[in-house]
Formats: sequence, C-alpha cells, structure tokens
Amino acid sequence: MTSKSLFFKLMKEDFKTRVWTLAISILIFFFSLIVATAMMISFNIYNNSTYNYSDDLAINFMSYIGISNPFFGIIFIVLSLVMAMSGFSYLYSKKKVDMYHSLPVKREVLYFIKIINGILIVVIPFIICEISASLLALANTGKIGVVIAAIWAIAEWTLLFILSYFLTVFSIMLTGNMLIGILACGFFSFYFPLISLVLKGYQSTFFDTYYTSGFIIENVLPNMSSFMLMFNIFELKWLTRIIIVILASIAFLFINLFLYKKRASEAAGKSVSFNVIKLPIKAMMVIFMSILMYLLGYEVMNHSIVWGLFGLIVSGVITHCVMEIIYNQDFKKIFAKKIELLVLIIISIFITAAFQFDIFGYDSYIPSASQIKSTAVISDLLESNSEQYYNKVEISDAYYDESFVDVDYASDSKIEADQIKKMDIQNKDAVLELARQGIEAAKYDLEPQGDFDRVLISYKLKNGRTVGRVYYLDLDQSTLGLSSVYADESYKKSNYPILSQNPENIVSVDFNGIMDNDTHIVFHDDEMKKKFVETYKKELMNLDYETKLKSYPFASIRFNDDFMEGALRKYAGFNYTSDSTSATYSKWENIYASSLESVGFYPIYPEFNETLDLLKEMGVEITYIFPAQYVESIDVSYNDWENTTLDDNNEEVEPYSSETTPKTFTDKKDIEEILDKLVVCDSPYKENLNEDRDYTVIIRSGNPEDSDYRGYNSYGFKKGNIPEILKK
Amino acid sequence: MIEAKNLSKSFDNIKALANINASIRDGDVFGLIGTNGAGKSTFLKVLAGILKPDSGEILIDDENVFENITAKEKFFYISDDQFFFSNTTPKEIIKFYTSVYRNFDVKKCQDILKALDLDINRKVNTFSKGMKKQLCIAIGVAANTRYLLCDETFDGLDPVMRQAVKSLFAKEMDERGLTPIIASHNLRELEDICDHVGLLHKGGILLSKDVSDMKLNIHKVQCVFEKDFDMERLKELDIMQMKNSGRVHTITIKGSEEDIREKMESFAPVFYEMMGLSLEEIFISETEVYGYDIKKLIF
Repeated sequence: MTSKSLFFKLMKEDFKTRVWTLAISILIFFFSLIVATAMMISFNIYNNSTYNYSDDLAINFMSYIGISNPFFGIIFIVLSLVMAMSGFSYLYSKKKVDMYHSLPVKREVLYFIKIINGILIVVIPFIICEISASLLALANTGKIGVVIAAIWAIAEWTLLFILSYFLTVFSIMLTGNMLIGILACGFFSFYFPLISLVLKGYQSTFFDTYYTSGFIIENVLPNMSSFMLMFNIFELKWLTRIIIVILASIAFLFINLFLYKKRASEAAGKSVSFNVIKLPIKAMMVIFMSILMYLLGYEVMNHSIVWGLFGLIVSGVITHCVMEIIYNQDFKKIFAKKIELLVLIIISIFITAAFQFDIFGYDSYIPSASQIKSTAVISDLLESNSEQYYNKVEISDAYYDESFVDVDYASDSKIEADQIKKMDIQNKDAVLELARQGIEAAKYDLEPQGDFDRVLISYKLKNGRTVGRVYYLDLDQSTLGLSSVYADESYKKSNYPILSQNPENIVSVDFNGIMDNDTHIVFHDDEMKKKFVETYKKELMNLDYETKLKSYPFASIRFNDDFMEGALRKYAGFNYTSDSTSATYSKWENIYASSLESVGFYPIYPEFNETLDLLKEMGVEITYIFPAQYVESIDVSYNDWENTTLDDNNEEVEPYSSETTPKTFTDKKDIEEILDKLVVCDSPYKENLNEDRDYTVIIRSGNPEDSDYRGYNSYGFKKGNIPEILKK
Repeated sequence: MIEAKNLSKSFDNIKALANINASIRDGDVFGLIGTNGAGKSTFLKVLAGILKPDSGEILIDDENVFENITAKEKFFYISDDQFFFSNTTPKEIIKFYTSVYRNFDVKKCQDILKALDLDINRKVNTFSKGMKKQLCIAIGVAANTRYLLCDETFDGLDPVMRQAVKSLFAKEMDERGLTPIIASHNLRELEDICDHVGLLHKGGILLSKDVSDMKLNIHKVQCVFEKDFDMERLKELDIMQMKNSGRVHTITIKGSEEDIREKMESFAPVFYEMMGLSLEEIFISETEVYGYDIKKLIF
C-alpha cells in the first residue's frame, strides 16, 4: 500500500530530478508575461498623446494573454513536450525502467507523480507570472477587467496545456525511443488535419458537385490534434471549448494510465511499445502518402493518371520502407513485409479510384423525396445580395475618443451555412428537378458561362443528415424550378430577415435611389411606420421570379432599428462634414442613406407600387429612370464575344479586349431611348439577373456641383430589351 | 521463500526463459550462473517484477511479484548497470531510497560507504564502474530487505572488494537472514559464497542443487595402486572421471565419503588421499551427466 507521505516524498524526489524544467518554465513566463507586459506599458506611455492610454493598454493586455494569441499556444506546446519528455522519457531507457519498475511503488503511483509534477512545474510559474503581469496592467489602467481576464486566461491556458501535455504523454506511451516519440508527437499533431486537407482536395478535385466534406472532415479531423486545437479552439464558444478540453483531458489521462500499466518494461529502446499498433500506424502513413502523392502527381502533371499512379506507388513503397526501417531499427529490413506493402498500395489505388471515377456516385447522388425532410437552395440566380443581411455594424468606443463604426463582413461560407440551417423549402419536386438538371449539366462538364451560375442544393434528410451538392445551372433551362423555389415562403423568410421582423423595433428607413437620390426618413407616426413596413413585407413576399427576370430594383431601402440609427449618426459624424454634403443633400440625415451601404438594404422594384406610394406620401422624391436632362452623352460598346481570346479560366486574355470602339450618343432623343431601356441599378441592392452581356453603356452626366446625378457610371440592358437605335 | 513455477518469457521470437522451476530458500545464497544470454538477467528481472512473465508465476512467500507492492518490498534489485539520477550524489540517492524503502537504514548505508571509502557528497557520475557497484551494494544492503537480487554485481569489483562484499553479505545473513540471489557468468566468483546454485542455459535450468549436497556426493581421490592391482576392480566405484599421471590416478567418484573410503581401503592401495572439489569441478562432473561440456557453457 502506498501511503500519502510516500506519494509526496516521491513527488519531491521526482521534482528534484526535473528542477531544470522549472527553471525553463520560470524563464519563459517571466519574459513572456511580466517583461512583455512591462514593455507594453512602456510602449503605451510613449504613445500616450495619440491613444486613449488605459483603454488601449487594457485591450492590448487582454488580447495578448487571451487564448486567441498563438504565441502562448506555441509556448504551451513546447512546454508540454518538455514536461512529457522529462517525466516519461525514462520509459525509453532500459536502465531507468529497471530501476523504476523494481521499486515497491505501484505503476499508477509513479504515473500520477510524473503527471502532477509536470503540470505543477508549468502551471505554478504561469499563475504567478500571469497574476503579476495582470497586477502591473491593473496598476497602469485601473481596470479590474485585466485581472479577471488574467484569471480566465489562466484557467483556459492551463486546461489547454494539460490536454497538450497528455497527448504528448500518449505519444511517449506508444513509443520506445525518443526520436520515434518526437516523430509520434508530429504524427498525432498533424496527421488528422493533413488527412482532412487531402480528402477535401480529393473531393474538390474529382467531384463536380462538391460542396463541403461534412462535419467529420471539415470540423472533427482538423481539430484532432492538440497542436491545431491550440490555435483553433478560441473559435468555439467558451463553455463548449472548456467542456471539450476537460473531457478530452480526462479521457487521455486514463488512456495513458491504461497504456502505462499495459506497457511492457522491455518496450524501452524499441521503436513502438505495442506491436498491435504497428500495422494500423503503417497503413495510415502509407495510404496517406500514397493518396497525397497521387493527387500531387495528377495535379502537377496536368491531370495525368499515369503520373498520379507513379507518385502513389513510389511514395507508398518509400513510406513502407521507412516505416519498416523504423519499426525494426534495422536498414536491412527495408523490404520486409512485402505482402502488407502490396495490400496497402492496392487499398490506396482503390481509394484514389473511388474519387477519380466517382465509384460511390457522389456526383449523381439524389435522394428520394420520401427521404427528404426539407431542402435549401442558395444561388445568385435567386438572390445575390444575401451578404447585406449578414454583414454587421460594430461600434467601438475603445480606440479613439470618438466612436468608431465599422462593418464586420460575413464570409460566404458563414452565410451559406446559416441559410442552410434556416431554410426549409418544402417544394421537394422543384428542388429535385433542379438537382437533376444540375447532375446532367455536370456530366457534360460545362464551363460556367453567361447565365450559368452556381446553385447550392442542401437536403435535410429524415435520418438527421444534411447533404449538400453544388451544381451549375443555366438560367434559361432552370427558370421554372428557380421560380418555384423563389415563391416558397421559407425561402423568402430565410433570405430576407425583414419578413420576420417586428415593425415596432424599426425607427427609420433609408431610401437609396438612382445616383444620389437618397432620403433618410425617421418615423414619428407608429401607424404609418407599421403600415409602411407591413406593405413592404407584403410586396417583397409577393415578388415573383418572373418579375425579377424582367424588371430590376431601381432603388434600395433599409429598415433601421435604434442601434443602426445610432451607428449611422456616429458613422456620418465621423466620416463627413456638413460642408461636404450640403451641396448634394437637402438635409444632413440623407447622407445616412448612402452610408454603410453594405448593410441591410432590400430591393425596391418599380412593381412595388404600394410601397412607392407610401414613400411618396412620406415626402420622398422618387426617380424611376436616370433623368435625361443631366446626361451629356452615352457611350455604348458592343462586346464581340465570338472573337475574344479566353484563357484556361475562361477569362479574357486582356480585359475589355472584346469591347468594340464605343459609339457615343449625344442626341437628346437617342439618349432618352437608351435611358428608357437601361437597367439603372446602382443602389446598394444590386441585381444583374438576365442581363444582356453584349452591350456596355456608360452615362456621362455633367453639372457636377449641384446635381444628384453627377459623374459617370456603367450599366447594361435586360435581355431582349435592347433599344432599336442600338440594333441598327 | 521464492518459487518460480513454469516460468516462461519471450522477447519477440526469442525465448529468454523456458518453463523454469526453481525454489530459493531463505537464508541461503543462491547463485545463478550461465553464459551471456542464458537468461540470468531476465530471470532476475522477472523476479524483481520488472518484466511480466508470459506464462507461469514467480512467488515470494506465495505472493505473485508483478505489480505487488507487498512482495516487492521484500527485495532490492541491483541491476548490472544501475541507473542513478543525473548529477546526483550518494547522499541524494540515499534520500531517494529512504522515501521508497520503509526500513532503509541510513546509518548503515553511510557506515558501509565510509568503510568502502566512498564520499557521499561526490557526484556519482565521477565514480568508476567499481565504485558505482559498491554504492549499489551499500544501498541494497541498507534497504534492509529480505532478498537482495544482484545481477553481475561482482563484475568490476577488485578481489579485495569482492571479499569485503562477501563478508558484508555473510554478516547480513548472519544478523538478519538476508538472502542474496546472485547472477553471474563467472562460476569462480560464486565459489565460496553460494549455498545453492542454479545453472541456466538457453533459458532453462540445467540443474539446481545445494553446493553442500553436491560436495557430499562427489569426491576426488588421488591414489597409487600396487603394480599387480586389477584395475577392473575400480568398476565397483561410481567413477565420473579418471586421470592418470604415471602410476598416480586422480579419480572423481560419486558417493558418500564413507563408502568411498571403505572401497578404497579394500583395494589396499599404496597410497590414497581424499581431496576437496572446487565448484567448477563439481559442475564439470554434474553437467557431463547431462551431456554438456560445462567449459563451453560458463568459462
């Protein structure tokens, strides 16, 4: 039986043998925390005249110590390696193992002594230095938040270090000498993220309808590594990441203990401690290298299967040879286990063939209607302004004395992921028909040109899975399906947040019309506000796809809540002076309508009669077409696509090389005829659906000082809406 | 008492121990001899609970040793190349083992080290191979365990030190019944200390006998017979080996001293003398019975 005193005595003795690691730990944290904080303070004092000193210092300090700082991630990875090696490298030496394992001490006691000391040697200096640094920051900022942030950082970094430490110990438990142990650390740090990249590479290369690789390849594999986890985990919510790290740490604590007890003493000095893992690890390495080199050979050598196979076989054989040399620690065993090599090469070839020739029918996948719970369809053919509703306005008070308003732009992937989650289209037949058309188009490997556009179809299946495919559809052939999807209530509601918004929260609207025909309206009458918002919602909900095709949104409108109104005020106050806008706008607030144009604008079609009537009622002067009286001339170029040289990516070799010499129209009658047919869509919500790509029209307008319509801009026509004057 | 029952241990495809059965009585000095690779160290490591046997068991007082603290507290294992923490001194090593072995006698250890003229404050990495062995022995003895497992412990000790260690063992055996178990490839090293010897060869025990029994049952007689003596009469003796030098015969005979003397006197030799056998000679004789050439095994 091991008494408590024996445990602590042994801990003390073990600590003595690892005292050098304590010195490393203290030095690292002293410089990275206390000295770095002192430097930060000194730097901020020096720049005191420019910045808000205490706010800036507090933000810098909190950002520096937080878990999003990769510098500390690297520090803790290095320390976890040092602590694991100093604690458990005795397992690599027969001499040391003989001594430790002959002692009348249970192996689990030895294990926990090593583990606990390894943690304490790092964590105690870290806590002391972190608290000292936070007190330094507190003394210079007076903000208690820095201490709270430090305590939080201590908790999170400690948990991350413990997980990384346990994973390094895991590598040691599986190996029998230090070099192989370090290689194993590398294997467990990078194998799964790399295999995820290779699989994604395979899918995107060989599957025409590839969308995403699914949760396991996209989210699980890249993070099955303490190394990657150190740098990625801050992206998760705090509770989620803490739970993940704690559960993973507990799991590895006991997995390591199990391995430690199972590990034979004679494993010291061997390459791998458990023979049973030799084949799986070798298989993982050989298959990974083979399929990686196939992909590289295939891609680099211009889609050559022969070169791909050459890369696969050569890298498979070399990897197998290296693994056998490592396993046997004997170069003469380079060609050992030839049958296993052959089987692994065959497996690798099968895997590559499964992707290359789509053996499992990824591209032709289409679920039956009975399997589908609901669907989502996302495409610029349906809506190309979704980012308007995902970009977020942020107000920061910290950096400067005056408020700073900025836009947090949403990524396309985030927008798509959210729309897929929200969208529940029930018109399965229409969606499946679109999918069938997409599969047919994919078979012919058509390059996306003209009105071919990307259409993402996502199926929420009854079994709980969500499956997505990307197709390239021709607008002309898919109009019916797209029209049905656009008519779906769920589609509209998931695309346009205003449709689910309560009018009570809205305080103002921004009307943004042709050129500077902009108006900011603050609602003072709740009845009018409610009526206006509901009218717009009704007309947007009733907007059909056919209208989108034949018409165009000549203006945009934004519905502002209190926060947005405040943000616009601050933004305008910061970015404009009254002098710079007085010449253009009848009132200062109208500048709001052209501020932060990437956020929250919805379309106004000429067909939105009721909305337009209400806007007029509220005093908005609406211009439906570009006013001819401001136009000096119009240049029209014809795009000669047939005689254009295109490169491999279907881009013109020289930009605008297809354009003919523009023809200039200055005659009032000609100008009016062109303007009447022109799509003047230059407000924030833009729609170029069904646009004729043969003509480019540039309007030159004069009288720049006192006009809303100054400068020049480029426009096009809708298909089939070309003025007769141009056809001549 | 230590008992090994059908003990087997393999390393990959190499059989290090093959169905070993042996028992080690308390208070005896057990010598384990064999060539390099015979399995001596493996046997000791299994006995010390370092290695887990593939089959069979090794018991100390009827308790399995592997991962059994009660059993492990009864012995101290000295490996052929003992590990010491880097940059450490005997003083610090004593402290470490004091925390592990509850009966560790610090004073005894210091006394032994003093007697061996080892400085307890000197860094161990400056010690010679022999000094390190002495340090191991001092710690092993001071651990006050019932058994002391020594793997090639006498290797590297000079003859004087070897004698000093043997005396130390004898004293400990006398005072507290220490049972040293000594593995060695050198039979001569164990000559005057072992009570019981086990001969290991290719992972198996060729023989395991009390030295006294072997000595009682084998005798060497040097004799000169009358010229007309009928040498055929010697067949009445259980002769294991006979060498002749002129008329002087040196005969190794199996049997009790009393019986041999009685027979020899009945032959009316001109001269005869009973001579003592070295352990080496006993082994030569014993292993020949099994068809082994002992000289190839252990010398």
